[in-house]
Amino acid sequence: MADEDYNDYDGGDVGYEEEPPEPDIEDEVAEGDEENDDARDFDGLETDTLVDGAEVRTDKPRKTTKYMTKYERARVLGTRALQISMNAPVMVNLEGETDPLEIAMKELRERKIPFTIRRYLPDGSYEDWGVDELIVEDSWRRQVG
Amino acid sequence: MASRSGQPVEEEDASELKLGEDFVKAKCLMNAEVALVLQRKYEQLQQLADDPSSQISQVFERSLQYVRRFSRYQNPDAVKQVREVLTRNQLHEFEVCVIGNLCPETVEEAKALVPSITKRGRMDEEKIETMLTDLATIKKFE
Amino acid sequence: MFFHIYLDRNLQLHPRHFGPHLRDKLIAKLIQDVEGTCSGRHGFVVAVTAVETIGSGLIRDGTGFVTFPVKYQCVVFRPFKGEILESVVTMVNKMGFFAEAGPVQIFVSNHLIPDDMAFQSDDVPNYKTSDGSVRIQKDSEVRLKIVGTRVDATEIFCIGTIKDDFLGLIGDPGGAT
Repeated sequence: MADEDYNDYDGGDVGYEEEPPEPDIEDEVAEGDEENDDARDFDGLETDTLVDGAEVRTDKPRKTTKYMTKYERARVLGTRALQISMNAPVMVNLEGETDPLEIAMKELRERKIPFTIRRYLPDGSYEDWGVDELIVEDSWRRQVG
Repeated sequence: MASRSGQPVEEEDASELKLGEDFVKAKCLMNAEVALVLQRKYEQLQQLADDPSSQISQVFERSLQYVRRFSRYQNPDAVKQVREVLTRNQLHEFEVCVIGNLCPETVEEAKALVPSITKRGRMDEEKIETMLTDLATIKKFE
Repeated sequence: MFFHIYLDRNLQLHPRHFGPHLRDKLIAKLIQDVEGTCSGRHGFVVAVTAVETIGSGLIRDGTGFVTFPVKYQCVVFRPFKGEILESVVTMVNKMGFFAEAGPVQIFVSNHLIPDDMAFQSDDVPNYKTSDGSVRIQKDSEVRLKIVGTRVDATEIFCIGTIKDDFLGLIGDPGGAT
């Protein structure tokens, strides 16, 4: 089951564009939950430092999708907005925005969110993806909104 | 209580160099060395903080007082030499520091204070004697 | 005995510190958190001397806080059973006397004081040999051997003895007052 999912992901562009079919959603949510054990580099900017610091990393090339899933997006935005609401320094220039979520979304658009997403795979290994590396698709937003 | 898996606290015995897993490989410091380290940190803190008293813990202060009082050697070079002399004799870290702290004057005293010194046949009385003389010389010319 | 050891600790940092001075903030927090504390396992943490590594942080879900694993070097004081050290007498009474060696308190019961020394309840309470040649009172420097340790949540307490060869009042000219 899980394997299938990731095979889907491999074909990223194709398999991902549309919303996953209903039965898959549950699965993905579960993954999404672990996924966001985001690591965060202390410098706030250099993702490389972070990756060096990770303990057991496979040197294999990463194989999960280069797109940010909507669950990851939700979690990143939520966490970041929470931090901003708690007075975390903002990484972008503000033009009058005051809503933390709005600011978080702006940071995400400008790829300035200083997070790394740790995606756990079914075999227990994981891949680290910087938020600034992932492609954020807005398509579902339009669908929902 | 400090619970360590499968190793009760009672097993510790410094006279037989049983220090528990956390400390067997740890680096021991002589009082004189600690004095150097703490003194420097103390000066740094005083320069940095506007209100130094809030920065300095009681433990720190008491330790500093203690090592100042009981440092056998004041001069950093002398401290270095002492460690050199003692390490040359294949002593365990802990023994090095006990001898460096207490400065025994006679072989008998050294053996009483550091019972582990003669075990495993590393040191005979003659070697201890030379070592103590060396230390006394350093002390004299400090 | 003082030791220089490596320790690690997970530090939780509030989001408001996530600026350019994050490292300094972490180090300051580390020092504030650990210096002056005591654990049965590692003894008293006297001073942090160096921060070795700061690992990548992990976001605590739902709180916005981030946990950083920090590895640091510090000077600790840890008494061991069987260890011989020098100490300063802080209080004398008929039960024995208390002495201090750095951060640690040591009690020497009158059973562990040589039999030829007796308690004298003068103005300055002290232990004295019958011929008066050795006298232990407040502020004397005493060399003793630790025979047991007791660990509280925030303190280590020791029992010592001076009933052995080469233990007791330190005869150094500069020593005893």
